[in-house]
Amino acid sequence: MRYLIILFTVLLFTTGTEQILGQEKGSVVYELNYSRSDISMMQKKAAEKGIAVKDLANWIVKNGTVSEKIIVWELRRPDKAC
Amino acid sequence: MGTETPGQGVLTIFLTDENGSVVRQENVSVRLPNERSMITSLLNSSALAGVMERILPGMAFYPDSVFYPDSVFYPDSVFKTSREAQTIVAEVSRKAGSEGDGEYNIVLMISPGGPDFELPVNPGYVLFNGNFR
Repeated sequence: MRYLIILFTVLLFTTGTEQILGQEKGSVVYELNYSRSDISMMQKKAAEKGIAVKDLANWIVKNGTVSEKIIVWELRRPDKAC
Repeated sequence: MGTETPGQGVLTIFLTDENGSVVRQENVSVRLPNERSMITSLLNSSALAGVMERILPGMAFYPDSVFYPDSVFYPDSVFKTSREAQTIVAEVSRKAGSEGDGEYNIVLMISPGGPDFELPVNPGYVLFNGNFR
């Protein structure tokens, strides 16, 4: 019975380790970018009369860029020594 | 080299005051990029214009010199929910309120859709400080 418990524990540990080592983890990074010179130009133009909200929305869509970066890492089993 | 279809995401537009309170908030659906893309290829400008007109009908925006790009919004932080990602909008709005002359901020945040993110996300943000008349 004792051997059976030990065997079961070892089996459980091995299965758990396999699952952890094979698991993929990561994150997603988005960036919303505008050029500072474009911003400065818009600020200068809007200084006196402002910029209509509708025109600001058009400016936001036409002058910006979005980027996505997915950072994925996998927990790997250390390579066995030869 | 295959190209994947971009997923669906959300561009959230916040109007915040100098104390960091969110005065108004609206969402617009966007296609998420595979890589670096012009916003114009992911979002219809008239859709954003319609939403912004709803938030601020007939107003004109007078931008102040304070402009915060992505780097100010805690670049190393990742969030698991949309609610977590929004908490720093208030924090950065307070910072802009203390540094700029504008009483209001327009903050844009791009993130995946839904309240919970599949993977931890560092959303894209941008903040414009200024006044409305």
